[in-house]
Amino acid sequence: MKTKLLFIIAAIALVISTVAVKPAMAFFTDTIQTQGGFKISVGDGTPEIDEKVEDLTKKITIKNTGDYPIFVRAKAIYPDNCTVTLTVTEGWSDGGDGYYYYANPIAPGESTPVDTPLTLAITRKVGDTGTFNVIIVQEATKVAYDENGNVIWDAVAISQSNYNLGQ
Amino acid sequence: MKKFYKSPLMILALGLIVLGASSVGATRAAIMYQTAAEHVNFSTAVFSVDITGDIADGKLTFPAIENDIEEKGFIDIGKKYPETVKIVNNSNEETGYKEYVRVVVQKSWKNADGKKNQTLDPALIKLEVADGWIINEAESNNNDKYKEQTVYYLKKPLECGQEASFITGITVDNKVTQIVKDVTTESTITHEYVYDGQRVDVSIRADAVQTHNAEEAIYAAWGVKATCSAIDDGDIVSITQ
Repeated sequence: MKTKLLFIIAAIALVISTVAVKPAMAFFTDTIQTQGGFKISVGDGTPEIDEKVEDLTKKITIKNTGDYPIFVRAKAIYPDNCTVTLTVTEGWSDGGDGYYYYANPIAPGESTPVDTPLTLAITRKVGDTGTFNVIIVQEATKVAYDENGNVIWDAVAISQSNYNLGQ
Repeated sequence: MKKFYKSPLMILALGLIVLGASSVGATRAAIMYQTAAEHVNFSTAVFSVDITGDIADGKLTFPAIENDIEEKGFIDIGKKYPETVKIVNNSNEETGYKEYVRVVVQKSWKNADGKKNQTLDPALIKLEVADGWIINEAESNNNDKYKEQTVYYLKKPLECGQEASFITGITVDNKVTQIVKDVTTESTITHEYVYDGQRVDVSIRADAVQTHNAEEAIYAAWGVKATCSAIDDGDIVSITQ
Protein backbone atom coordinates (compact mmCIF):
# COMPACT_ATOMS: atom_id res chain seq x y z
CA MET A 1 0.00 0.00 0.00
CA LYS A 2 2.82 2.31 0.96
CA THR A 3 4.75 1.49 -2.22
CA LYS A 4 1.66 2.19 -4.31
CA LEU A 5 1.30 5.63 -2.73
CA LEU A 6 4.93 6.43 -3.44
CA PHE A 7 4.48 5.46 -7.10
CA ILE A 8 1.46 7.75 -7.40
CA ILE A 9 3.34 10.68 -5.87
CA ALA A 10 6.30 10.06 -8.16
CA ALA A 11 4.03 9.95 -11.21
CA ILE A 12 2.36 13.26 -10.27
CA ALA A 13 5.75 14.91 -9.76
CA LEU A 14 6.91 13.66 -13.16
CA VAL A 15 3.82 15.03 -14.91
CA ILE A 16 4.13 18.41 -13.18
CA SER A 17 7.79 18.77 -14.02
CA THR A 18 7.17 17.84 -17.66
CA VAL A 19 4.42 20.42 -18.06
CA ALA A 20 6.14 23.17 -16.09
CA VAL A 21 9.42 23.19 -17.93
CA LYS A 22 9.09 25.09 -21.21
CA PRO A 23 11.30 24.23 -24.12
CA ALA A 24 14.36 26.41 -23.85
CA MET A 25 15.10 28.27 -27.09
CA ALA A 26 18.13 30.48 -27.43
CA PHE A 27 18.65 33.20 -29.99
CA PHE A 28 21.70 35.35 -30.48
CA THR A 29 20.98 38.85 -29.28
CA ASP A 30 22.93 41.93 -28.25
CA THR A 31 22.13 45.43 -27.08
CA ILE A 32 23.95 48.72 -26.56
CA GLN A 33 22.86 52.13 -25.36
CA THR A 34 24.12 55.68 -25.47
CA GLN A 35 22.81 59.04 -24.34
CA GLY A 36 23.69 62.69 -24.72
CA GLY A 37 22.34 66.21 -24.93
CA PHE A 38 22.94 69.93 -25.02
CA LYS A 39 21.51 73.10 -23.51
CA ILE A 40 19.59 75.65 -25.53
CA SER A 41 19.36 79.36 -24.85
CA VAL A 42 16.39 81.42 -25.92
CA GLY A 43 16.21 85.13 -25.29
CA ASP A 44 15.61 88.54 -26.76
CA GLY A 45 17.99 91.01 -28.25
CA THR A 46 17.38 94.55 -27.06
CA PRO A 47 17.41 97.36 -29.65
CA GLU A 48 18.97 100.69 -28.69
CA ILE A 49 18.38 103.70 -30.88
CA ASP A 50 20.78 106.43 -31.94
CA GLU A 51 19.28 109.47 -33.65
CA LYS A 52 20.91 112.41 -35.37
CA VAL A 53 18.87 115.38 -36.61
CA GLU A 54 20.13 117.53 -39.45
CA ASP A 55 17.90 120.16 -41.07
CA LEU A 56 14.63 118.46 -40.15
CA THR A 57 15.94 115.06 -41.20
CA LYS A 58 16.36 112.28 -38.69
CA LYS A 59 19.11 109.76 -39.33
CA ILE A 60 18.64 106.70 -37.20
CA THR A 61 20.72 103.64 -36.42
CA ILE A 62 19.65 100.83 -34.12
CA LYS A 63 22.09 98.74 -32.11
CA ASN A 64 21.54 95.21 -30.82
CA THR A 65 22.58 95.32 -27.17
CA GLY A 66 21.36 91.81 -26.41
CA ASP A 67 22.87 88.35 -26.75
CA TYR A 68 20.89 87.11 -29.74
CA PRO A 69 20.56 88.22 -33.37
CA ILE A 70 17.51 90.36 -34.07
CA PHE A 71 15.50 91.96 -36.80
CA VAL A 72 14.62 95.58 -36.14
CA ARG A 73 11.95 98.01 -37.25
CA ALA A 74 11.09 101.57 -36.33
CA LYS A 75 8.01 103.75 -36.28
CA ALA A 76 7.67 107.51 -36.34
CA ILE A 77 5.02 109.07 -34.14
CA TYR A 78 4.26 112.65 -35.10
CA PRO A 79 1.47 115.25 -34.89
CA ASP A 80 -0.83 116.38 -37.68
CA ASN A 81 1.06 119.58 -38.33
CA CYS A 82 3.91 117.73 -40.04
CA THR A 83 4.61 114.79 -42.31
CA VAL A 84 7.42 112.21 -42.23
CA THR A 85 8.79 110.72 -45.41
CA LEU A 86 11.24 107.89 -45.80
CA THR A 87 14.30 108.55 -47.88
CA VAL A 88 15.14 105.07 -49.06
CA THR A 89 18.57 103.84 -48.09
CA GLU A 90 20.06 100.39 -48.56
CA GLY A 91 18.37 97.80 -46.37
CA TRP A 92 15.50 100.01 -45.19
CA SER A 93 11.98 99.88 -46.57
CA ASP A 94 8.49 101.09 -45.70
CA GLY A 95 6.40 98.09 -44.59
CA GLY A 96 3.17 99.94 -45.33
CA ASP A 97 1.96 99.22 -41.80
CA GLY A 98 3.43 102.32 -40.20
CA TYR A 99 6.82 100.67 -39.62
CA TYR A 100 10.13 100.94 -41.43
CA TYR A 101 11.93 97.62 -41.63
CA TYR A 102 15.61 96.79 -41.88
CA ALA A 103 16.04 93.70 -44.03
CA ASN A 104 19.08 92.07 -42.48
CA PRO A 105 19.59 90.50 -39.07
CA ILE A 106 21.65 92.45 -36.57
CA ALA A 107 24.19 90.42 -34.64
CA PRO A 108 24.74 91.03 -30.92
CA GLY A 109 26.76 94.22 -30.45
CA GLU A 110 26.23 95.30 -34.07
CA SER A 111 24.20 98.21 -35.46
CA THR A 112 22.34 98.98 -38.61
CA PRO A 113 24.85 100.65 -41.00
CA VAL A 114 25.88 104.17 -40.07
CA ASP A 115 26.49 105.11 -43.72
CA THR A 116 22.99 104.05 -44.76
CA PRO A 117 20.86 104.99 -41.75
CA LEU A 118 17.10 105.06 -41.57
CA THR A 119 16.54 108.52 -43.02
CA LEU A 120 13.28 110.31 -42.30
CA ALA A 121 12.58 113.75 -43.74
CA ILE A 122 10.23 115.85 -41.65
CA THR A 123 8.13 118.49 -43.35
CA ARG A 124 6.16 121.09 -41.46
CA LYS A 125 2.76 121.94 -42.97
CA VAL A 126 2.63 125.26 -44.73
CA GLY A 127 1.66 128.07 -42.40
CA ASP A 128 2.21 126.11 -39.20
CA THR A 129 4.29 127.87 -36.61
CA GLY A 130 3.91 125.75 -33.48
CA THR A 131 6.43 123.36 -31.97
CA PHE A 132 6.21 119.61 -32.36
CA ASN A 133 8.02 116.39 -31.56
CA VAL A 134 8.68 113.44 -33.81
CA ILE A 135 9.28 110.36 -31.71
CA ILE A 136 10.92 107.26 -33.10
CA VAL A 137 10.06 103.93 -31.52
CA GLN A 138 12.34 101.01 -32.27
CA GLU A 139 11.36 97.36 -31.92
CA ALA A 140 13.14 94.04 -32.31
CA THR A 141 12.29 90.42 -32.85
CA LYS A 142 14.41 87.29 -32.69
CA VAL A 143 15.92 85.94 -35.85
CA ALA A 144 14.53 82.57 -36.85
CA TYR A 145 16.14 80.06 -39.19
CA ASP A 146 14.88 77.49 -41.64
CA GLU A 147 16.35 73.99 -41.56
CA ASN A 148 19.09 74.99 -43.99
CA GLY A 149 20.25 77.67 -41.59
CA ASN A 150 18.88 80.51 -43.72
CA VAL A 151 17.27 83.43 -41.96
CA ILE A 152 13.50 83.44 -42.17
CA TRP A 153 12.37 86.98 -42.85
CA ASP A 154 8.75 86.87 -43.96
CA ALA A 155 7.27 84.63 -41.29
CA VAL A 156 8.94 86.32 -38.38
CA ALA A 157 9.79 89.90 -39.20
CA ILE A 158 6.39 90.87 -40.55
CA SER A 159 4.49 89.29 -37.68
CA GLN A 160 3.40 92.11 -35.36
CA SER A 161 3.17 89.98 -32.25
CA ASN A 162 6.82 88.95 -32.30
CA TYR A 163 8.29 92.35 -31.55
CA ASN A 164 9.44 93.73 -28.28
CA LEU A 165 10.14 97.35 -27.56
CA GLY A 166 13.60 98.74 -27.27
CA GLN A 167 15.18 100.90 -24.61
CA MET B 1 39.33 -10.36 20.22
CA LYS B 2 36.76 -9.15 22.59
CA LYS B 3 39.46 -7.60 24.73
CA PHE B 4 40.93 -5.73 21.75
CA TYR B 5 37.66 -4.00 20.92
CA LYS B 6 36.92 -3.24 24.48
CA SER B 7 40.25 -1.54 25.15
CA PRO B 8 39.85 2.23 24.56
CA LEU B 9 43.59 2.71 24.43
CA MET B 10 44.01 0.26 21.60
CA ILE B 11 41.24 1.96 19.63
CA LEU B 12 42.80 5.38 20.23
CA ALA B 13 46.18 4.17 19.12
CA LEU B 14 44.75 2.62 15.99
CA GLY B 15 42.94 5.88 15.20
CA LEU B 16 46.14 7.89 15.60
CA ILE B 17 48.01 5.53 13.28
CA VAL B 18 45.34 5.86 10.60
CA LEU B 19 45.24 9.63 10.98
CA GLY B 20 49.01 9.96 10.82
CA ALA B 21 49.29 7.70 7.81
CA SER B 22 46.64 9.62 5.91
CA SER B 23 48.18 13.01 6.65
CA VAL B 24 51.63 12.11 5.41
CA GLY B 25 51.77 12.37 1.66
CA ALA B 26 53.27 9.61 -0.35
CA THR B 27 56.95 10.19 -0.78
CA ARG B 28 57.50 7.46 -3.24
CA ALA B 29 59.73 8.54 -6.07
CA ALA B 30 59.06 7.31 -9.48
CA ILE B 31 60.36 8.11 -12.89
CA MET B 32 57.56 9.86 -14.66
CA TYR B 33 57.12 11.52 -17.98
CA GLN B 34 54.23 13.78 -18.82
CA THR B 35 53.46 15.25 -22.14
CA ALA B 36 52.16 18.81 -22.45
CA ALA B 37 48.45 18.96 -22.04
CA GLU B 38 46.52 19.10 -25.23
CA HIS B 39 44.35 22.23 -25.17
CA VAL B 40 41.18 22.62 -27.07
CA ASN B 41 39.72 26.09 -26.85
CA PHE B 42 36.01 26.46 -27.10
CA SER B 43 34.54 29.88 -27.57
CA THR B 44 31.02 31.03 -28.31
CA ALA B 45 30.44 33.09 -31.40
CA VAL B 46 30.57 36.84 -30.81
CA PHE B 47 27.26 38.34 -31.82
CA SER B 48 27.45 42.05 -31.32
CA VAL B 49 26.02 45.42 -32.27
CA ASP B 50 27.51 48.84 -31.74
CA ILE B 51 26.64 52.52 -32.13
CA THR B 52 29.24 54.67 -33.85
CA GLY B 53 29.56 58.17 -35.27
CA ASP B 54 29.26 61.16 -32.98
CA ILE B 55 30.05 59.15 -29.87
CA ALA B 56 32.79 59.97 -27.39
CA ASP B 57 33.55 57.84 -24.33
CA GLY B 58 30.29 56.02 -24.87
CA LYS B 59 28.25 59.23 -24.84
CA LEU B 60 26.29 60.74 -27.67
CA THR B 61 27.76 64.07 -28.77
CA PHE B 62 26.54 66.86 -31.04
CA PRO B 63 29.71 68.37 -32.55
CA ALA B 64 28.08 70.94 -34.84
CA ILE B 65 25.81 72.20 -32.10
CA GLU B 66 28.54 72.24 -29.48
CA ASN B 67 30.71 74.20 -31.89
CA ASP B 68 28.02 76.89 -32.28
CA ILE B 69 27.46 77.06 -28.53
CA GLU B 70 31.18 77.49 -27.98
CA GLU B 71 31.53 80.18 -30.65
CA LYS B 72 28.28 82.11 -30.28
CA GLY B 73 26.82 81.01 -26.96
CA PHE B 74 23.63 79.75 -28.56
CA ILE B 75 22.37 77.61 -31.42
CA ASP B 76 20.32 78.74 -34.36
CA ILE B 77 16.84 77.59 -33.40
CA GLY B 78 15.14 75.98 -36.39
CA LYS B 79 18.35 75.13 -38.20
CA LYS B 80 19.04 71.48 -38.96
CA TYR B 81 22.48 70.59 -37.63
CA PRO B 82 24.34 67.64 -39.10
CA GLU B 83 24.61 64.67 -36.77
CA THR B 84 26.04 61.24 -37.49
CA VAL B 85 24.89 58.13 -35.71
CA LYS B 86 25.42 54.71 -37.29
CA ILE B 87 24.60 51.19 -36.24
CA VAL B 88 27.35 48.63 -36.82
CA ASN B 89 27.26 44.85 -36.91
CA ASN B 90 30.58 44.16 -35.22
CA SER B 91 30.10 40.44 -34.67
CA ASN B 92 33.27 38.45 -35.23
CA GLU B 93 33.89 38.00 -38.89
CA GLU B 94 34.51 34.23 -38.83
CA THR B 95 30.88 33.67 -37.96
CA GLY B 96 29.61 36.08 -40.59
CA TYR B 97 26.38 36.52 -38.68
CA LYS B 98 23.85 38.93 -40.09
CA GLU B 99 21.53 40.64 -37.68
CA TYR B 100 18.23 42.43 -37.51
CA VAL B 101 18.50 45.74 -35.75
CA ARG B 102 15.97 47.87 -33.97
CA VAL B 103 16.70 51.21 -32.35
CA VAL B 104 14.71 52.72 -29.51
CA VAL B 105 15.03 56.51 -29.42
CA GLN B 106 13.86 58.53 -26.45
CA LYS B 107 13.80 62.31 -26.55
CA SER B 108 13.11 64.54 -23.60
CA TRP B 109 13.87 67.89 -22.00
CA LYS B 110 15.82 68.17 -18.79
CA ASN B 111 16.12 71.15 -16.51
CA ALA B 112 19.32 72.56 -15.03
CA ASP B 113 19.25 69.96 -12.27
CA GLY B 114 19.23 67.15 -14.83
CA LYS B 115 15.66 66.18 -14.01
CA LYS B 116 13.26 65.38 -16.79
CA ASN B 117 10.78 68.17 -17.45
CA GLN B 118 7.60 66.48 -18.55
CA THR B 119 5.80 69.74 -19.20
CA LEU B 120 7.95 70.41 -22.26
CA ASP B 121 7.30 68.86 -25.64
CA PRO B 122 9.76 66.21 -26.91
CA ALA B 123 8.26 66.59 -30.39
CA LEU B 124 10.12 69.90 -30.67
CA ILE B 125 13.35 67.87 -30.79
CA LYS B 126 13.45 66.63 -34.35
CA LEU B 127 15.79 63.89 -35.46
CA GLU B 128 16.37 63.22 -39.12
CA VAL B 129 16.61 59.49 -39.73
CA ALA B 130 18.22 57.91 -42.80
CA ASP B 131 16.30 55.86 -45.34
CA GLY B 132 15.86 52.15 -44.78
CA TRP B 133 14.20 52.30 -41.35
CA ILE B 134 10.56 51.72 -40.51
CA ILE B 135 8.73 52.93 -37.40
CA ASN B 136 6.63 50.58 -35.34
CA GLU B 137 3.85 52.89 -34.24
CA ALA B 138 2.59 50.35 -31.70
CA GLU B 139 5.80 50.64 -29.71
CA SER B 140 6.21 54.36 -30.31
CA ASN B 141 4.17 57.09 -28.72
CA ASN B 142 4.39 59.69 -31.43
CA ASN B 143 0.69 60.36 -31.18
CA ASP B 144 0.58 60.58 -27.41
CA LYS B 145 0.92 63.72 -25.39
CA TYR B 146 4.59 63.29 -24.62
CA LYS B 147 5.83 61.83 -27.93
CA GLU B 148 8.92 60.65 -26.15
CA GLN B 149 9.73 57.29 -27.69
CA THR B 150 10.07 56.12 -31.27
CA VAL B 151 11.09 52.58 -32.23
CA TYR B 152 12.79 52.05 -35.58
CA TYR B 153 13.51 48.77 -37.37
CA LEU B 154 16.14 48.40 -40.05
CA LYS B 155 14.35 46.78 -42.96
CA LYS B 156 17.31 44.87 -44.33
CA PRO B 157 19.50 42.50 -42.31
CA LEU B 158 22.76 44.16 -41.38
CA GLU B 159 25.67 42.19 -42.79
CA CYS B 160 28.56 41.26 -40.57
CA GLY B 161 31.08 44.09 -40.49
CA GLN B 162 28.70 46.52 -42.16
CA GLU B 163 27.16 49.71 -40.82
CA ALA B 164 23.82 51.40 -41.37
CA SER B 165 23.34 55.15 -41.22
CA PHE B 166 20.73 56.06 -38.62
CA ILE B 167 20.59 59.71 -37.50
CA THR B 168 21.74 62.32 -40.00
CA GLY B 169 20.53 65.56 -38.46
CA ILE B 170 18.91 67.25 -35.48
CA THR B 171 16.70 70.34 -35.27
CA VAL B 172 15.19 72.24 -32.39
CA ASP B 173 11.83 73.46 -33.63
CA ASN B 174 11.22 77.21 -33.98
CA LYS B 175 8.20 76.89 -31.70
CA VAL B 176 10.48 77.01 -28.64
CA THR B 177 10.92 80.73 -29.32
CA GLN B 178 7.18 81.34 -29.20
CA ILE B 179 6.31 79.72 -25.90
CA VAL B 180 6.55 82.17 -22.99
CA LYS B 181 5.24 82.39 -19.48
CA ASP B 182 4.39 85.56 -17.56
CA VAL B 183 6.40 86.20 -14.46
CA THR B 184 4.65 88.83 -12.36
CA THR B 185 6.12 90.98 -9.64
CA GLU B 186 4.50 93.86 -7.78
CA SER B 187 5.37 96.33 -10.50
CA THR B 188 6.22 94.36 -13.64
CA ILE B 189 5.10 91.53 -15.83
CA THR B 190 7.94 89.81 -17.66
CA HIS B 191 7.70 87.26 -20.43
CA GLU B 192 10.14 84.40 -19.91
CA TYR B 193 10.93 81.82 -22.51
CA VAL B 194 9.87 78.44 -21.17
CA TYR B 195 12.57 76.53 -23.06
CA ASP B 196 15.42 78.88 -22.19
CA GLY B 197 18.18 77.00 -20.34
CA GLN B 198 16.59 73.59 -20.86
CA ARG B 199 18.64 70.62 -22.04
CA VAL B 200 17.80 68.46 -25.00
CA ASP B 201 18.31 64.82 -24.01
CA VAL B 202 18.49 62.00 -26.54
CA SER B 203 18.85 58.34 -25.62
CA ILE B 204 19.54 55.69 -28.25
CA ARG B 205 19.41 51.95 -27.60
CA ALA B 206 20.30 49.52 -30.40
CA ASP B 207 19.14 45.90 -30.17
CA ALA B 208 20.23 43.12 -32.51
CA VAL B 209 18.94 39.59 -33.06
CA GLN B 210 19.99 36.79 -35.40
CA THR B 211 18.47 36.56 -38.85
CA HIS B 212 18.22 32.77 -38.83
CA ASN B 213 14.64 31.70 -38.23
CA ALA B 214 13.78 35.35 -38.66
CA GLU B 215 10.22 35.85 -37.49
CA GLU B 216 10.56 33.57 -34.45
CA ALA B 217 13.85 35.16 -33.45
CA ILE B 218 12.36 38.65 -33.63
CA TYR B 219 9.31 37.59 -31.68
CA ALA B 220 11.35 35.79 -29.03
CA ALA B 221 13.81 38.64 -28.60
CA TRP B 222 11.57 41.68 -28.87
CA GLY B 223 8.00 40.45 -28.47
CA VAL B 224 6.81 41.90 -31.76
CA LYS B 225 5.39 40.08 -34.73
CA ALA B 226 7.35 40.64 -37.88
CA THR B 227 6.61 39.63 -41.40
CA CYS B 228 9.78 38.79 -43.26
CA SER B 229 10.36 38.10 -46.91
CA ALA B 230 12.13 34.79 -46.17
CA ILE B 231 12.40 32.29 -43.34
CA ASP B 232 16.07 33.12 -42.89
CA ASP B 233 17.84 36.41 -43.65
CA GLY B 234 14.81 38.02 -45.28
CA ASP B 235 13.89 41.70 -45.27
CA ILE B 236 11.43 42.91 -42.65
CA VAL B 237 8.23 43.70 -44.53
CA SER B 238 6.13 44.84 -41.59
CA ILE B 239 6.13 44.94 -37.81
CA THR B 240 3.13 44.76 -35.52
CA GLN B 241 2.86 44.53 -31.77
